[in-house]
Amino acid sequence: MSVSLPIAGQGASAGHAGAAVDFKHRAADAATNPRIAAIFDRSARMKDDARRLILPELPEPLATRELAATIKRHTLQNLDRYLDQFVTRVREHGGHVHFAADGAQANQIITEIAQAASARLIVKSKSMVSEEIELNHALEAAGFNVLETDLGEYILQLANEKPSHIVTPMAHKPKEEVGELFARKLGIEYSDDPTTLTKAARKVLRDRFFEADMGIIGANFAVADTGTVVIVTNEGNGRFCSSRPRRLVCLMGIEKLIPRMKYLPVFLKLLGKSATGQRITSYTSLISGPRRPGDFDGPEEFHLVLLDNGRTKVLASEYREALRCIRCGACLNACPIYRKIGGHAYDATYPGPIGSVISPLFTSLAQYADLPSACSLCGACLDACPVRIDLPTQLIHLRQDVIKAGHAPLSWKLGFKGWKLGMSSSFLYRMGARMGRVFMKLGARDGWKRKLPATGAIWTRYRDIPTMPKPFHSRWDELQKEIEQENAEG
Amino acid sequence: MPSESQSAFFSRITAALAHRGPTVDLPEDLEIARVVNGGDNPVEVFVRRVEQSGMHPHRVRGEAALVEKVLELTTQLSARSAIVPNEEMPAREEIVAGLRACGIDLLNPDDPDAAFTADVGITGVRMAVAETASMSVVSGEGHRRLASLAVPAHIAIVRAEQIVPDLLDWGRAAATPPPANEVLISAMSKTADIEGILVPGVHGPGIVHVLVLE
Amino acid sequence: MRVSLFVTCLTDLYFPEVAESVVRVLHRLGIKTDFPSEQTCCGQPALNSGYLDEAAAIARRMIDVFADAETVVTPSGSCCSVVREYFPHLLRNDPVMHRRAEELAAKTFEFTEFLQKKLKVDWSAWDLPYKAVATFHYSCHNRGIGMSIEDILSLIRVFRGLEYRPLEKADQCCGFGGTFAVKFGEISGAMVQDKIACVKATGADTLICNDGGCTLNIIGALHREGVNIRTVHVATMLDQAMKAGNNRHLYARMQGEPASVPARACCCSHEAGAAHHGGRVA
Repeated sequence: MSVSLPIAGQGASAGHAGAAVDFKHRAADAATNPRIAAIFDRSARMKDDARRLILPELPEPLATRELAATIKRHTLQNLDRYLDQFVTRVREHGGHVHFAADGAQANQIITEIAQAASARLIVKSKSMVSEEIELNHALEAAGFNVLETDLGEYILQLANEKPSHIVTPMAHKPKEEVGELFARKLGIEYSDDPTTLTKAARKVLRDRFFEADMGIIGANFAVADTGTVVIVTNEGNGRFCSSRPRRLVCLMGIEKLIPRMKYLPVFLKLLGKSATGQRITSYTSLISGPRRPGDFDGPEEFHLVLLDNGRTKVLASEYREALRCIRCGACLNACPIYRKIGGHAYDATYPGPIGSVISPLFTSLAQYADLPSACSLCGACLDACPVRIDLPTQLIHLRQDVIKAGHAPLSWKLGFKGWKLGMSSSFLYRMGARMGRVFMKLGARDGWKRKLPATGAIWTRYRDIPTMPKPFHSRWDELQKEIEQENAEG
Repeated sequence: MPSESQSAFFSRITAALAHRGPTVDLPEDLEIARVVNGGDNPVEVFVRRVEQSGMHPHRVRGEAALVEKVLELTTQLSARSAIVPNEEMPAREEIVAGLRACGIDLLNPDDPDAAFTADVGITGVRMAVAETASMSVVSGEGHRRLASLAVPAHIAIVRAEQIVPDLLDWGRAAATPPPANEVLISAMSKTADIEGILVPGVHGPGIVHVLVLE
Repeated sequence: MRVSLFVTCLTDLYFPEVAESVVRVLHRLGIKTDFPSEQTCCGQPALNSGYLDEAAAIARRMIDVFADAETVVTPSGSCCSVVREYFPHLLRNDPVMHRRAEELAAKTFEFTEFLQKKLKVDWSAWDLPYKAVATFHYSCHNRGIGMSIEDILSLIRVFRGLEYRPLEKADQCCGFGGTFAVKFGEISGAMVQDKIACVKATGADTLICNDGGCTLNIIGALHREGVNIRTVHVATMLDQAMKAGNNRHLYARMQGEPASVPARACCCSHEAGAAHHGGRVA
């Protein structure tokens, strides 16, 4: 039985189409499905525990993260300058640079590159930004054969499912399902052994690497002063995609820039550790344009596609620091909500804490109005973030934006106006406390109430609530007397 | 091409930065992030961390021992063919001669598909990093990208003096202009995509031997 | 030294005995406590729900209420966190109130933080019997005030006769989150059920929990499931243990006041979106 929700990526998701995502229901369904929590809790905690274990290898983990944050802050503040330098360098290397205001433009650009190349087989390395703009869908619609080569993405492509995590895309999928899938689609004998399954995928993909005439990669970082795109991988598919095919396309969000090569190590020291608890990934590929004259191998053509798609909107806003994100997924792994509901419930390319910030910001508040509230503000995400994005504060501000945009129920707005009134006067507060105390006694047994009305009903679905004792403010005078008594006895 | 014009694209960014906020200076001193320094015996650290990563370190003294070790390993791997790019590496000629003498088929590095059939690829490195057990292999004259990628086993030859302590040192030594491609190889190819269970040898080599020549 | 108690609305209305214990414990340590009677709430429910104008209004009021305080101590970490991390942020566009917010933030402490990091009480002199098999839930807002699990454990270890059992997923949120518990009740419910399953698994008879919100949430779930584990704030434990043990000779008298504690240096930056992060666990 599949644990993925029925909507989990069967074709284009509702989220991308612009219709409001019914997150409340999706989240409720996921939260009440114990299999989902079992899978995601285990998967997320495995990575979170590994992160915590390895991070102290850095002598100053917090200071290192703050250093990374400062480098990104400076870069974002001067993004136009660094992007200009980066573009110049890429062109000096012989690469072509294209500018895409949004996803539709990026898809068109890449489709035209594929058409000009008469590409017969396109191989892709894992790229979250390509998910964001649904690149595969666009290329397939134009008749191209696109193959994901990262094992997790390859499996999801075969299964026609969407990723449930930004780093480990098939976190939701048990090995038995992969076994069934491969038996069905690859015609091999059923096995649920990960080594056997991996070898089967390797065999298929190896032949594809051999033939492919176009490769598409994303970018973890882009180094402005050398015109270098950096991808970090473990499998080796990124290296194949960027070395064997004659044409290489790199699709990149503009926020990936860092100023100079000397800064890259700071991020490399943090990324693998934060993502999966690895000291560093098996491969760090540094790609600086097409092959040079005299090189034996490497792409003949290199196309850099720079993507905005809402990033300048965020850059201009008070949420700019969200663009520091290096897509490590640590916040997802640390998040107690993500651990319960998993990635598909969000119906967004980017789920979890960072997703709850950038999904509404990259698309629209109306589409993802509920995401910013799906958080208990526990702060585990900020604690985990290698670039110290203050996600809790950003989420609080987004909640305010949601209210100001008119997406909050009137009853809540009025409720808080009343609350403010009550809290503005100690007399009203104490009066309210008295009334509350009386109310809470109604229907209570042995000092507990089992049912609250209206908004409170969901509280009592899962727990009882005690009646209120005589409040502290009424006990103060008596307490003073007791203390004097104790004093006197001494 | 449906591309937006560069100037329109950039104007939007500049406009977004109209309010840049209080100036954030770019830090110059990155030493707070340093893990390994020169005094920590980088060669020892490198060897230890190569082992921790799942690769196999071998320390050898002198080129004769190096060649012997290469031959020992290719025998151990039951390799029948090898690709040894015409790049700078210690004792390359002796290694090639030795392999031939063992009856191993030296595939032509100028055959672009050779690496797909070779049982083992043997390369040098541009530099190595103790902190992360990383080896930098580059593209360019004589080098072959696939010799350390398409093969099931990779033998990398590192001179001890090529080992720098920390990634910070590697970052500062970046070549300008850079080669078309550089890879930091820090472990064998692997995945844990299926239920977090580690499987080595996905698309790249599942076996990596690192020979440290002292 | 003089401490003003910020009781917090949840503790005032649901766990007044905790506040009483705080006052008694401080008294025995030689600290006179007053209670600004005009206090109501720190504004956390409005802040967390995004009603920032309403939260700012309540923040202003609270700053006025505690204007004359020398030091403010509160038994609830989440409320302390609101005062320290968010009051200055909420009032960032009002230079006068912003400065006053920073002043209040600099002199406000959570109770366990106050004992362990400010007073730095030397507990070895005290006889603190407290027989229990206890585990403890690390409330989320301890992160914001710089109290690590180890910091809190150092206080739990002072009790004689207490057997400590670590809680699995100790620092995973219990699911309260204020209005989150009613907005996303199913997720909140799943989170609290996870929490009490971990509590039960320790075999402890006592759960130590030092935040009003967490406590209300957890004891409600424990009671619903009929689990017989008592939940207690460390203030209450100290109060009881001090009385039960041989400590009268240590009770400081008003004449022998301990040296005054310097205000915590304020480290806040003034960028939009920045918050206090002194001492967060890396």
